[in-house]
Amino acid sequence: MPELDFETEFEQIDAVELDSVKKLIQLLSNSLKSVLIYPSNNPLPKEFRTKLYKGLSEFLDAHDELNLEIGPHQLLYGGKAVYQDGEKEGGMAYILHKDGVRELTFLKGLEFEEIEDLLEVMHTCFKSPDSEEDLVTLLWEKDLNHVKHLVVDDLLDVDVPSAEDVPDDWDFDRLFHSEVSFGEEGEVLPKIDHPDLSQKYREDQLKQLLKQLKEFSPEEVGSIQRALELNCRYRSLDQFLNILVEIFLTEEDLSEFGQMMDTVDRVLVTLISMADFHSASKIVQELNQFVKTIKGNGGQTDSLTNEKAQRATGVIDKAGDRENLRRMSQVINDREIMDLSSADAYLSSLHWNSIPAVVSMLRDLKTFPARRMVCEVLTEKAKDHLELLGEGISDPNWYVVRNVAKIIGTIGAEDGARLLRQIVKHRDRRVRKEVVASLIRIRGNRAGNLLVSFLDDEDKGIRILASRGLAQRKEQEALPVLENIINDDQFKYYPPEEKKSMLESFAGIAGDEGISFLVKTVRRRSWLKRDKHNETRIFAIGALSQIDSREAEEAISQLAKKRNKVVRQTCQNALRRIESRRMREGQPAGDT
Amino acid sequence: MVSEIPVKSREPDKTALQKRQLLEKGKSLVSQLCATIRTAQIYDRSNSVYVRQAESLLGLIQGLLEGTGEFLLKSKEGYLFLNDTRLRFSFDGYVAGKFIVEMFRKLQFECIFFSPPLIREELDEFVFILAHADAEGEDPFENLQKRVASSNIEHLRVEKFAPGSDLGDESEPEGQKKQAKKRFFKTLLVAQETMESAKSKRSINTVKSKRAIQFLIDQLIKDEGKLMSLTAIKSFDEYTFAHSVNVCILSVALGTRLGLSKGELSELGFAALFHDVGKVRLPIELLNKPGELTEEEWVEVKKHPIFGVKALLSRRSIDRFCTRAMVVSFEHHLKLDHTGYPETSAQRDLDLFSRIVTIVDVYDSMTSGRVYARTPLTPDEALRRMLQKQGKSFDAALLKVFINMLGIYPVGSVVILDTGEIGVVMEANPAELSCPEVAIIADRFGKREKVETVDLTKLDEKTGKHTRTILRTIDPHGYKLEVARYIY
Ligand SMILES: [Fe+2]
Ligand SMILES: [Fe+2]
Repeated sequence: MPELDFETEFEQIDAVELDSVKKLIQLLSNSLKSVLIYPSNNPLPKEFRTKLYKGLSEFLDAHDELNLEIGPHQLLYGGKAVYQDGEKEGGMAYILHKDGVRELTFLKGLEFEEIEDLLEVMHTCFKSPDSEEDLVTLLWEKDLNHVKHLVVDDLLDVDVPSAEDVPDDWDFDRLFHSEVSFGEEGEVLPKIDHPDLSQKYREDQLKQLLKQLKEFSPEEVGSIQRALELNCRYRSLDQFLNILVEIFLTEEDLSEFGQMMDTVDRVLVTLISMADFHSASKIVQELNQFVKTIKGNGGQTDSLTNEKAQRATGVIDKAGDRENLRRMSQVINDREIMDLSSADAYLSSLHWNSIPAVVSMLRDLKTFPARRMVCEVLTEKAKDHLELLGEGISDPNWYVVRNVAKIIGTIGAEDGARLLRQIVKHRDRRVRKEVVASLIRIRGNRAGNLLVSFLDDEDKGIRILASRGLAQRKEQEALPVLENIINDDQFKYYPPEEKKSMLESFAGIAGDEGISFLVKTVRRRSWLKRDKHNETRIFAIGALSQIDSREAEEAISQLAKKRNKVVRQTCQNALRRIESRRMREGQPAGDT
Repeated sequence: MVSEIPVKSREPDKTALQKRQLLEKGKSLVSQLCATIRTAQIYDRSNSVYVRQAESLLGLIQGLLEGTGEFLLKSKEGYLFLNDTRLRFSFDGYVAGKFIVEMFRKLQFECIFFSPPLIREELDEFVFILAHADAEGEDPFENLQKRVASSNIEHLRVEKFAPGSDLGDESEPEGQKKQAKKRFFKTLLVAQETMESAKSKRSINTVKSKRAIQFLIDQLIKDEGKLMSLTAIKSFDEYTFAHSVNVCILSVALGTRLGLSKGELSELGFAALFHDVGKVRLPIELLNKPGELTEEEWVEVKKHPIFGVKALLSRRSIDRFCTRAMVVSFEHHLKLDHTGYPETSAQRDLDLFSRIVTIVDVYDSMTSGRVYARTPLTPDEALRRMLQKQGKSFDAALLKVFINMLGIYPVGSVVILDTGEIGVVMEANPAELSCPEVAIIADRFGKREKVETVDLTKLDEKTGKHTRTILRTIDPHGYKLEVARYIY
């Protein structure tokens, strides 16, 4: 486009006016950027918009309109540049100019919603400058009363045939004589007979027809309104997929079928790149349905059917391959806000053989909510294919390993222990902690045994967690190990919370069988560090009191007779506690 | 002028509810105004039918005046506005809306101002002036102004088109006609180009089509008649393309009546334009074959809905326009009673757009007579036959809306009038289905010197009856009469 010199023509625009327009355009640009940068729940974009709206309204009150000329990279007001695109491609002017907009005019009376609509349109085109979204179409559809745009139109000049081009050699005389005058005047010409056509409406018929046409019955009004309501909720993509399956089913030409599958493949990739996981999941679901349908057709499968099923399965497999899912992670990472439920739906629609690729998403995804979503998907998907989670177990990133450990725990299948065994000695305590939490939830001896091994983990928290888990599972295998720990001379130097946990866990697992061991622990003498030893005694009495049986109560009563003041008092307190517990539970107090 | 009106709210939080209420009132105003003017055309001021109608209109206006103070009803680019709020009509209010827009257009004014305190006498005088205004005189607006000025009307006034409004060249009938023609042929070219590229299995560029359809829709909203009349020309060489454009125009026109938004209309227009895109994959000899098709040939023809889906599928990306077009291509030969083709594994609930396109498609095919070597039917006969099949092949209610749009003597019908004149129907009259605008091509003596367009709704001042009525239609094909010559 040639650069035009507007300087002379628009000299009347004063500096103040130009300055205020520049500010407004800056606000427009900021509003647009803020939508791109901030998530939808952030108040900032709305603040910008309100400011922009107020500013524009004030300007329009004073000037009636604001007309901007759109250059390839700048916006002009009265021939003077008021905005320049930045270095990168895809600035505001570029986006407008590319689709043919040459003027943008705001008119007095501008409404706030119109600003929002305009920004939404520009935002759509900004987001994906390469897509086929046509800014002019979007703007036109918004149908804004106070924002007008002018578009260059190279097509408007077309040759229009004129009336003179139409031949004029019709049988007028014959028509006139056979249809109007019936040969009363002049020559009689043969009448053309069209028995069924050209009927005349009788007057009463006409009246009835008109009445019938003009008046809409309540049913008719209802049927149109229903159709319009349905239309508002119409999702043509769903219908289109439905149709695709219809066509897949009847297609007999394998190469045509293959081409369609290639298209579906391509569409899937595009949808993923556009973050339209909802549509993508619909496609995969329809494909799954299709494969199921043709395979289920009476059990008899010919080679065409087999081939078709295979091709479709191939597309589903590809939908869940590493390349595609890496793309998906990237798309999710690139977005501040994201409807993760649609991503969930997509991943869920994939076949189980995509599990390793889904696991690798745990490595690629940057945000916690996204990884949690993937975990939820895997929990469902890997139920019957635990072994496919193996890759995640040996992943170099601790958070991947931890997530997989958690998934295995949530699934809770016995086989999970086999996988977790590989990481009981993982160097990261966060992983080991997760392993313990998972082992607690997994049934079977193997998990129990593994859990016992955590009683001598280097981390105190993990040891405590393991002991509590063992108690929860009533893991008998843990008893000899716990006895050893408690009997050890060093035990009295353990941190109090760990001592308490070990003793209570022991009591919890052993029950009445453990009473004598605990009594022995209380009775044991120690000459060194008596306060530490007393601490152990207190916890042991506490553990006894938790056993909640007559035998345990009896044992505490016996211990209450001891000379040691600490032991005596602790036992008395414990007995009081037991008594009030009984009262609460409505049981009679003991005989002794 | 407009800025003096205090109703407009500047607050971003203007409640949607208020806006909706205003919209509803605006729509009632239009339908009451239309009803009152039409009653005034038939009855005199003391007639009870008129009195009841006028009372109801007055009540409505007074309610609005109380709520908002002075207000105006404005027509711009084919839309009606109450102050600054655009009134959108669905199929039930459409005729009234169209009637008022047409009245504004014919009498060449842009808005009516209502100010308090309006009384019945003023309203009556104003309504009767409008009801009997002469749209055909030298300067209809000047005339109208004079009559209003010489009466006792104080609180109602009309204003001429504001400078800078969209009229200009196009306000001249010839200018508008030319504009309509340009848009029609532009779309024809785009359709041809697009379908040719579909034929060679190249990827279809849709932006051009979308923009062409926008032009059509804008034109339809401004002046439906001119564009719709072009669909009656059936003599273009490339049948499939002209048929596509016709189906596009009539479908969008029908969609407008249903109150669809611009976004929906452009999707509908796009789907309609490409409903037969699958035909480009059929051999040309088959499409142009004279005589009946053999069974094998029918099998081929019946593939075109699926071919259409495939052609649209070959695009790089698939947007909402394409998905909708694929649905319509697939469904446009499926009937409401689940007959038709292609075969499906389950019964489908046909999309609203497919139902619309089916009606329009059948109408255009029947009147064109090129498809599969049928004899063309006259437009009114085609509608009559379609009415017989309503509910089975077509959505009955939609068909009714369609006929209400075309009139019972659609554009392109050749008619004999009770005056002995021969005419070609040029434009339907939404208010009176049997009284279209007709170009008189010969007088009762068979003379045909100049073509004159008359409005059949016009009443004889003395008798109160129609000056001309249609006696019957005739089939022009037997006489090699090309209606195109008159429609142009
Ligand atoms: Fe068709
Ligand atoms: Fe068709």
